[in-house]
Amino acid sequence: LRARAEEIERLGISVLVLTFESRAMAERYARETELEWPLLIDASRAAYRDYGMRRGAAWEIWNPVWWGRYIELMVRGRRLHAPTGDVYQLGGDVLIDPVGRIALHRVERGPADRPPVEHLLEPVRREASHG
Amino acid sequence: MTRPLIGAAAPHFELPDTRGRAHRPGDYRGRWLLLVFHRHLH
Repeated sequence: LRARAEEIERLGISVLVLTFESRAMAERYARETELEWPLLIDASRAAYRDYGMRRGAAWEIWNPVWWGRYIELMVRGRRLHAPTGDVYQLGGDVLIDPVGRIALHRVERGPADRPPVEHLLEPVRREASHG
Repeated sequence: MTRPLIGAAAPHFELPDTRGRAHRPGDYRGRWLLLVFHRHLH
């Protein structure tokens, strides 16, 4: 997603990243990754629940299919930290249209299950082509 | 919990970012808004 940040901005999409972890952890992550978007702290996970972000089952979280993704991140230079938060909480993506309605809703199937960026942008492109 | 559905109004929240600034989905009305819910940070 971050590799396409300029394109995302050109399409008129604002991005907010949410975490349920502590402020200290969030600040460290934003600093170390030089995150270009606001990192919101949802310690109670109320927004996670309201947006349908579920907790995964053990077989989903510890599935070896995801290990390769972590290795890929490390090869790309990402410094990974031991988890301090709830490792069973899954993330996901929600795209909200300009009138405040949900246009895309996706919950991860596992820890490293990230969608192709094009999938996230598709509703915006579709609307633009009809507009 | 009600799972948000495609086409439903986005649930409200007000959350601070790491700089202390509050954000609400309604602040972004008129633009597309992508919410990226992170797993634990690593």
